[in-house]
Amino acid sequence: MLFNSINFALFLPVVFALYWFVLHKNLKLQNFLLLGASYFFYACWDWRFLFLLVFSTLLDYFTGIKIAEATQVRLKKFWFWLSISINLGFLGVFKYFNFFSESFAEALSNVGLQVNPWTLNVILPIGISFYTFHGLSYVIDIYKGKIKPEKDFIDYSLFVSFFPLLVAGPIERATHLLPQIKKKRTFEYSTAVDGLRQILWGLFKKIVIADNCAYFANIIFDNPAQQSGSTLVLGALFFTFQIYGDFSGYSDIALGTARLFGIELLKNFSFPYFSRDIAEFWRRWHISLSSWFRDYVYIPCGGSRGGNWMKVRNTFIIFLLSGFWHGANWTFIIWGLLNALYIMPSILLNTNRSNLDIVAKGRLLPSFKDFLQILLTFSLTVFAWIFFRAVDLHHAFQYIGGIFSASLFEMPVLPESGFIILLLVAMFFTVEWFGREGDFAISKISIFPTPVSWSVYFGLIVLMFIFQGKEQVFIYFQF
Amino acid sequence: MQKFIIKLFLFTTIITIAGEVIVRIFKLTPDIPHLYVDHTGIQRYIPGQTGYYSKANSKWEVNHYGWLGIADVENDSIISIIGDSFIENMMNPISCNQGSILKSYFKDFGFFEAGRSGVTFIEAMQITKLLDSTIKPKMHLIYMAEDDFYESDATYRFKDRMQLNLTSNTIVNGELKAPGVKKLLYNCKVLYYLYLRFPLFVNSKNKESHTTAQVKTKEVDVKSINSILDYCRKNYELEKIVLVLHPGTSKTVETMVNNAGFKSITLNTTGDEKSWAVSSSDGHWSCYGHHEVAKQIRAYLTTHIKLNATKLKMALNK
Repeated sequence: MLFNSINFALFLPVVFALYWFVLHKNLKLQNFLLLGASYFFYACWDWRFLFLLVFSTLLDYFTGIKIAEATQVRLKKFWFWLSISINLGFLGVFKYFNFFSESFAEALSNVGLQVNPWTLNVILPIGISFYTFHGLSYVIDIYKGKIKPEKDFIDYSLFVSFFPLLVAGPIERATHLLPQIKKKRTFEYSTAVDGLRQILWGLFKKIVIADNCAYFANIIFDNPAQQSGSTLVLGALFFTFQIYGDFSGYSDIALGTARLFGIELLKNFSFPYFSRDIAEFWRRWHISLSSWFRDYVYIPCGGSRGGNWMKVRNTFIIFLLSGFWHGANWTFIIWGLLNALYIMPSILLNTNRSNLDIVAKGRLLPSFKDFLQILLTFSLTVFAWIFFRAVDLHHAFQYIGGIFSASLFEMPVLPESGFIILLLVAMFFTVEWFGREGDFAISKISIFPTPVSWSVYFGLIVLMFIFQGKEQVFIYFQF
Repeated sequence: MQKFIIKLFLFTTIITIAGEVIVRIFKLTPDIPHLYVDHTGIQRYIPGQTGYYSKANSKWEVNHYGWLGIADVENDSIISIIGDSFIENMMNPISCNQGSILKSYFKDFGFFEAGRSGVTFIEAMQITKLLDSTIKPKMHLIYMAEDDFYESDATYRFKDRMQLNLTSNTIVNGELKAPGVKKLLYNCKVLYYLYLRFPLFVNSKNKESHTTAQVKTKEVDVKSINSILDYCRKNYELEKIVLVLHPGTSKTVETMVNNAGFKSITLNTTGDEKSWAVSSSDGHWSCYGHHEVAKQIRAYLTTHIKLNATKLKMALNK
């Protein structure tokens, strides 16, 4: 079930009504309803993978208890590694097995040994990377003694499977979400309205920005050899806007939906394209994943405590893992590597935490220096997205080769509608710029009188009606 | 909570009204004409109705015969084009209709389109009979998918479709199904827009199957199809009919229709990297798809019959 579908438009009010009108007096029943709704939501994709989700939930639930109960370190370690290896094992089989098998066969063929790679004919269970990481963080936190295991199976299952975050995040932490699940929730008018506002903004990002940009990005990326360098640059830009609109739009809808049920999820995006350096970009893009890698990989590996060598090594590790998390393809690995290289100067010069504030806070426009920094960071990001979007490395290099050709200075070839979409994108980023001090771009619109705020909502809906794009599935569902 | 519900209701009401105005002004949905059932049991549109194609300035008009599209009956060599929503082609401008494209290849011929969403194979056959008694085409091209056979078998009754009762060998007419939902969808255009834009049950899996267009994997119901073909052999003039089978039609079905006395063309998408579909959620042919189909029809008519347009016309007139 997609967020941008009629099914979800019917599903959400039903769950909302049952939650607040029928079961509002009983927290356990509310949680049970949310869990049932989440399983239904997931089963709409493919009911067979529900078993995998339930198994993964059961595994972490029981191993979490066993780790906490174990009196001997040896036993604690046993349960911990059992959970980690099975979780990663599932991820490995469903997501990475074919990649490793094919890469191994290719490596052998390079030294003259021809073997047919043994591949599995399985489809990737939707959301596996997200709910596996939920479970992993939970088990690691128990093992490290940061949290106590959750005894209530329904509450724990809801933490793993809560439908707004189930298929594409944000990647939640037990320390953040479980206490909310266990606490009695009351209906707050302002929170619910804010939730609806965020859903509306998310839908706009997805339907108008992402889906329309996807159309042009696909055309240009599908035939790079036939495009001029300038058109290829436009294609990369379209994909840059598409992936932001798509994924941050999804996150907005997820966060807004959760707010309707009185639950606050972790923020996943914070205006990343206004970042002044790559380190800031990664504090603002897919925040829940970046912070996951920071807390469960970077810091346990030593973080920045062991001098420059340690910092460099650990930075490369998390960016390679981040690339690999996105998919079993060399393109994602190169994308991760590129980002590691981008961030390296600020790591070595210790300037990676120099831009912690909001850019041009309290001012209308950025300073010239900020502007140049934003432009440079944005350009580097656009370049890296080419690898992310490319089908394989050959495609990526062909695309980049096409950009750096004499035709780079020709007028880009684009249908008229493409320029209209670029105009919409410019408008969209203007709104994002003025709303950058809020949670999301239109979060502070409530300070205006109702006629103004309602006009904005109507305006967004009208644009969604007129400029609806063709794409529908969210990019991050594949991860 | 009360405040929230009231405001939400108010907002939804205003946005529905505003949406209705926008959809109508920008013609975001196609207008759908109303139907009647004629004396032969065939469902046709009430003549004279007009409306707009989606997002197009061009209007459609239901012709005197109760169909949309081309009705070139002045020519003495008419080829009829019969089919379902693919031939009705409400999702594209009329220049992308099979009749328009084929006319550009065979200028000496008149083309007559009789397409309506939901036409079964048996109804298409009935239409050939009706046309034979009125405009007398020299050839009928019936565009159909494998499913149109099964939808013709009254064992699986679709009340709004014309079907064949295989036990009594009688035709069961379809009834005009005008349920509230359908009427509401056509009249409340914002709902129809939402229905078209956000179709139910679209997910990553069926998105795939839509784009690879009508590839059937289920087993052929030989008994059912043979019974229908047997009925056709006894009740219709098959020598004038060419079945244009959708891509993915099984070899078994192709052989069965040929053995029954039909001529057939099986459309082929192999080697065409570009999808024929309108969109990922709508498997109907786009303008590109219609042009590709017409190219294959032209190739068939000129190579299989081994005649050029003028000779073909002479041959048909014999």
